[in-house]
Amino acid sequence: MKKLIQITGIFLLSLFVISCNREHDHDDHDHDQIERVIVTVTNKANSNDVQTVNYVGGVADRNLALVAGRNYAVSLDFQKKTSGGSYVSMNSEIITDKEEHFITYEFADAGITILRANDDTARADGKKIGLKTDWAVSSVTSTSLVRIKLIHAAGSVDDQFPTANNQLGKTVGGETDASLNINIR
Amino acid sequence: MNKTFLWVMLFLSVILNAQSFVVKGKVSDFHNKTPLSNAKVILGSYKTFTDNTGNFIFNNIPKGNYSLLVTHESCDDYSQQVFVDKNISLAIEVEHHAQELQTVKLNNTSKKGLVAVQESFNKDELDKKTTENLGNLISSMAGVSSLKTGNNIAKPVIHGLYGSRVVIMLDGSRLTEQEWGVEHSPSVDPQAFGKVSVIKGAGALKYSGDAIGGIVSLEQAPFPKKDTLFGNIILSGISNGRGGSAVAQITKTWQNEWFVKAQGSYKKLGDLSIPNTTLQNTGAEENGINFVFGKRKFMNGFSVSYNGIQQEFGIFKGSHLGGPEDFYQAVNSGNTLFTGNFSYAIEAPRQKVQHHTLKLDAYKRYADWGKFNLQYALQFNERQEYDIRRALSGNLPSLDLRLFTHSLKLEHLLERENWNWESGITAGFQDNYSNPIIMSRRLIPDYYRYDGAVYSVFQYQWSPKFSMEAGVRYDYNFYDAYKYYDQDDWDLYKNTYPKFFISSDGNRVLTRPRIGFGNFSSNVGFVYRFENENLIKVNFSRASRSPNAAELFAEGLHHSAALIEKGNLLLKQEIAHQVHVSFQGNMPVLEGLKFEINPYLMAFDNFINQIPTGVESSIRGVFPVWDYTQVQARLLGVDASSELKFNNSIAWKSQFSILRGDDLTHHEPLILMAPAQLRNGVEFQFKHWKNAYLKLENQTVFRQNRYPVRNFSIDLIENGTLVSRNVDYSTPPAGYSLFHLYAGIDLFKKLQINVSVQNIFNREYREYLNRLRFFSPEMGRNIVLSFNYKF
Repeated sequence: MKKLIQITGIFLLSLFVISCNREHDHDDHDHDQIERVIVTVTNKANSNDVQTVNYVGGVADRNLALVAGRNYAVSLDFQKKTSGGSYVSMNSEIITDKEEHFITYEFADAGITILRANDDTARADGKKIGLKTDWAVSSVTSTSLVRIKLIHAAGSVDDQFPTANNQLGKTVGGETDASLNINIR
Repeated sequence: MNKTFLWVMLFLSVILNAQSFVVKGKVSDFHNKTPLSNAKVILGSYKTFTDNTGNFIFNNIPKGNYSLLVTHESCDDYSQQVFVDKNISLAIEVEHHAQELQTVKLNNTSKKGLVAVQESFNKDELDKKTTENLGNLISSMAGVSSLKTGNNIAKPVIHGLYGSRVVIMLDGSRLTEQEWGVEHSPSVDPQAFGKVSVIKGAGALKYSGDAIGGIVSLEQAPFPKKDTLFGNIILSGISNGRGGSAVAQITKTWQNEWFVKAQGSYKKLGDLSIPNTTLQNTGAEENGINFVFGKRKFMNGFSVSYNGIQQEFGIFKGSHLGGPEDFYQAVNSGNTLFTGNFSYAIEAPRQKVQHHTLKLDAYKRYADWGKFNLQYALQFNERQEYDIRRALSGNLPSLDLRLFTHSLKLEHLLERENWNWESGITAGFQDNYSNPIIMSRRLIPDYYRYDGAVYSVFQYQWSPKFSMEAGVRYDYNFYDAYKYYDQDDWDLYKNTYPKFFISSDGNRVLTRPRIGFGNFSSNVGFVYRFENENLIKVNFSRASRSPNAAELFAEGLHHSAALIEKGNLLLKQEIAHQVHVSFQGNMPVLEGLKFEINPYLMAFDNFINQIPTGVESSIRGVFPVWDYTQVQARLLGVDASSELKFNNSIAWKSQFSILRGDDLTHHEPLILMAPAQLRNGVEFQFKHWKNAYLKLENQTVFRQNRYPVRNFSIDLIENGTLVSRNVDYSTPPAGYSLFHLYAGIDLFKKLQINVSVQNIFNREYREYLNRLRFFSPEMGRNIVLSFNYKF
């Protein structure tokens, strides 16, 4: 009985020690959460014609200026925030986990077709993720919009949707890790 | 000569009379001082019995030393030595409750009557449902349902109320876990206990002042006072999930009232089946252990117990969403995604829970001062949620909450012939810690919580027909938390609680909310018994509940609901005024008709409710935001049950419940109110033929037509055009009707076999109280075969 009391006392004391260990002043960032996306759009006919859209907190810092008849190379950089407050790219993580990721594109009120770039990362099933794409612009209106989504752990993906000549991409199931809406003018 | 003889006789008689005495006394019950009639009193070679008032008398007892022995049915024998040298009057108290139960009595002795409405499962019934979790187990009772997240995770719902409004008691100790989470199942193994009871409504003030919905009480089976060893082993095969479970229990008791019991359980399931296919990642694994030992004499005793449980649940892959657009796609696709490829593996998303309870109990009885009981409980609860994460942090949980709770209570029970008076004082300390290893935002911040309560309950029996109860209780809860807010959110509170501010860094504000709540609860009730065991119970109560940690501090995304929930630091106590009535009757129809009708009414001030208040844009999309707010509310309902015996072997059992809940502030129904339900079953029992039984049951759940509309709009691109679409989050599914079968027989004297078939016709249906109903139907047919070996 004496031993039981001693063991119980030590156990209870250790619990208090454990429970007193705190890091209240350490704010937590979501290390998995994408906090910023940099969309870089380069005029294929003029490599100096580069537009950069910063997408943070659900808002793009500018519209994309696209001209009918031109072709553009578009790349995406998904970034997370460090505990120091700066942004770092997560693309390497996405590429490492390429079997789990896929990017889809949708256009509203715009005539734009896309192909997944030759040097875009391909998954084991041969389907390209969509970090790098080539856009061919045929028409733009005052209400044109592009929606870019990064999908995590989809049940199935199709990089030839709707056609092999317009590879917007489609997924079934999965989780949206990022959804960007950028106006095109 | 004759005169001389007479003088001698006279002299002798005087001498002799001077050497004889009267020994008289009263025999009464030690427990409540009730006089005991017909007790046998033996004084040396003299014998008599007590009268109706407990009194006895021996005349003409010569001077001397005698052994006194008092015996009475259901009493321990009483003996003492008595030296008679004068007239003596004795007051003898015997232990009338020699077979007192180990179990905690919910409303004190049944002699005074219970005013609360309650139903129970005993050990035999629990053994037949060995594979069910607690939420699913009690959902077969009228007025009780379960709020599910899939089928493995089920929270008890009593009269439409759940979470912090339903308190779970384990052998008199409150289960302290993260009950505020709608996706959190109670961490308890019902198989470790011998009785599971549900008390509906507030009023059991001994245990809680904030159990507005009611109490689920799990108690150990009583330990017999004899030298014996017994136990059982139950092995079960479960078709849905292609799994099984094992439960083993052994108990050793001694005549000197020592006891020790050990129990263990294990359950494993693979992916669950819906009609025609399986749902990916819906397996489960659970194991539990229970150990208790002690000594329980009538006058004093103690016990030490340990309960531990570990659970791991897969969360259906098709329910894990990133945003409202995913939700829309899932709901409107018309198909259940992520099906087939049966597996026993449990992958992310998944939940892992462990809960440990160490409890120490001691009590002592005093002749005039009653019974004192001291209890200490230490509980540790850890909940980890693993989302689908990128490889770098793939093995890290997204949520890791650890909760330590210490609780101490001192209770006093005073019993007399016509009344009981029970009082108590409790104290508790809770430490919630969100492990930063998760590298993710804390859903619930770190906090300490200090609790204290005092209560007093008085029961009085006016007559054999009428008894009443009145109780009062005061609880105080104090939170000391550390929480980060976004500046926008802190702006809502900074003027009310400027003293909580600690520091700010950019958009983030560190605060230390220190906030307390005092709650006064009370109840008054009575029981009146008519002829033929008919009775009426009425219970009025006022219950007050402090907001829980989620209601105050939550901030995060509910993946399966694609919404953001936010706590509210401005919440006040929730107060409920309730009346519960129970009519219980018997009628001479065929071999007997028993029925029970329980209407109830609950009126709330400051009912804590979640409502959508806006949207929030994030990198994942635009999410609806649901905030905690307070409204006037009312719940009104009826539970009814009946049993009609056709003969000694065949009975018809029915059960019905209906509930109406209203948000009176916004003039709309309350969300997630259980739909009306009707159960009918015919039961055949052949006690004389190997205890065989067969029960066929129909369960009909009606569509819930009263619900608030909580839909939201999202913008989609369809055919190259931006369009607005409505996400119907609100419309309940259609009603449904299922058939179940239960049967069993004693194969041999010690071996019982039970079989149950639920959803016999493999009907596809959706349950309104299942939060994942949008993504898949409910489980299909499930056949459970159990072998119960008793020794």
